Amino acid sequence: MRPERRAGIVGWGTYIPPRRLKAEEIASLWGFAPEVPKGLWIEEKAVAAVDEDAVTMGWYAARSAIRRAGIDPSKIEAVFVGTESKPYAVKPSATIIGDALGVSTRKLATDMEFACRAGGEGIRFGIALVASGQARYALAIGADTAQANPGDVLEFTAASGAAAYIVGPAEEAAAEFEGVVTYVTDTPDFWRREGSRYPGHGEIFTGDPAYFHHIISSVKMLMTELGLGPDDFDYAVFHQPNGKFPLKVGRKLGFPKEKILPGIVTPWLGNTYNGSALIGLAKVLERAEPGQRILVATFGSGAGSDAFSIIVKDSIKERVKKAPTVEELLQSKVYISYGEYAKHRRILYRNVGG
Amino acid sequence: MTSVQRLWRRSREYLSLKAFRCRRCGEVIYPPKRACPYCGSRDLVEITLPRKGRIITYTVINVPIEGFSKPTIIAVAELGGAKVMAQVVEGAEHLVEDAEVEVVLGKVGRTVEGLEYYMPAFRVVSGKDLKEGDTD
Repeated sequence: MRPERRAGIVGWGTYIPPRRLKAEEIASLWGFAPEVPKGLWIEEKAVAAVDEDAVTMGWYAARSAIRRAGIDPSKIEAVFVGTESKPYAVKPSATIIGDALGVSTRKLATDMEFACRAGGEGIRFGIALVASGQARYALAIGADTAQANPGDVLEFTAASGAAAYIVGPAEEAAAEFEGVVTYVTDTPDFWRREGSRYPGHGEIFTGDPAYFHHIISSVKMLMTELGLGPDDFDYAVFHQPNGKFPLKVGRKLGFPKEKILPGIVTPWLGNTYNGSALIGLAKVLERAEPGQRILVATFGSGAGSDAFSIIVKDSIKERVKKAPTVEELLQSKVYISYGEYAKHRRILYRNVGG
Repeated sequence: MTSVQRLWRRSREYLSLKAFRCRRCGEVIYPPKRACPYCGSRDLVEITLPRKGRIITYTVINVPIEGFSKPTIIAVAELGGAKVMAQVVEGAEHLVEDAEVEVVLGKVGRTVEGLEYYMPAFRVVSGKDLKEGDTD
């Protein structure tokens, strides 16, 4: 649908923790053939430190977004945090981040859960609030310290990171939402039960009936509603559970890899779940030229996909330099061992007090 | 360790980096107090500290109490004239006196009731990470 009142991205920001674990170390430890991570196109992943979580990473990304927006945080009237690794089962992360940023107390604030696409849904909610005149600015965050069962193939990619977007009036925006649709079905491809530390997944079932079907459906719906085709877009950004899937889904939709590669981050970052497509979008925004059109398609298991068409505006260039870019965060890294990774992600359990 | 109530009472002013400048002696006071601890004056004006400053001194606690990361590094940094003490949560490899720090949101502990607490914490940034004029 096209928003009745035009809304856009006023500011954006990302956070990538500097610690990196190489995929070859995971393969060596668990006895995977070296071809396995290569087949997934994953080289290394970002690891949150023991004192980082979805709240601290989301706050950092949001602060960068506010700096790029150049707005007073007290003017933000909604905070949505999309995550599947929130610190509390019961207690919102959005309130912690909102207060720490100095966001108004007159606000909506909620944590959203839809596997990896809750952050994208937060942006949709932000568009709805701005387009309906119920909020001037809405903050949507996608942040995760993704979990994976040690030794599961998922461990190659499950990573930590965050992205934040401030949605506001189009006339103040660096990029405008031209249209957005969401496609949702009940598809049990990936889940984590109450009390379970690690998610389960349907192996190959996560591909065709889940990731590919939902992204292809949402993107086709969007292009039909807007009367656009792949040739009309300059960039295409897809959710990135690994490096290969976004290239494959793009190929199925008719997008050449030259339009997809600029938004790829997973081979050097891992899958940051709710941060995945949104960090990819940030990377594209940081190189895009005014007038260019960007396709973004999120994906969340369970399953659903949001497809956005975004048109870049003149003010994009001046905002890029106001906060760390994705490229800068990707380059700022220190390698750690699997043992350090196990400590930081609390895979090792210690008895306390005998 | 601290209590849920104490955290709730103080965390907002800690996180916002609100401080007072004494109109009589000019000292900057953080966290805010009712009277200037340097001269006793109550003639104070509220200010917001910058998020970047420089390390004055630090200490490395190799045997911290349970619940804190090992080692725990506590630093005092000068931010806009105030001396602010906080935990160093990132960039310890660059830690030297006079190193530049950025205040971030740190998950620095957990109360005995199980509440995580988030407080201002320091990220030490190496010179190449700094952007010119980046002082907010």
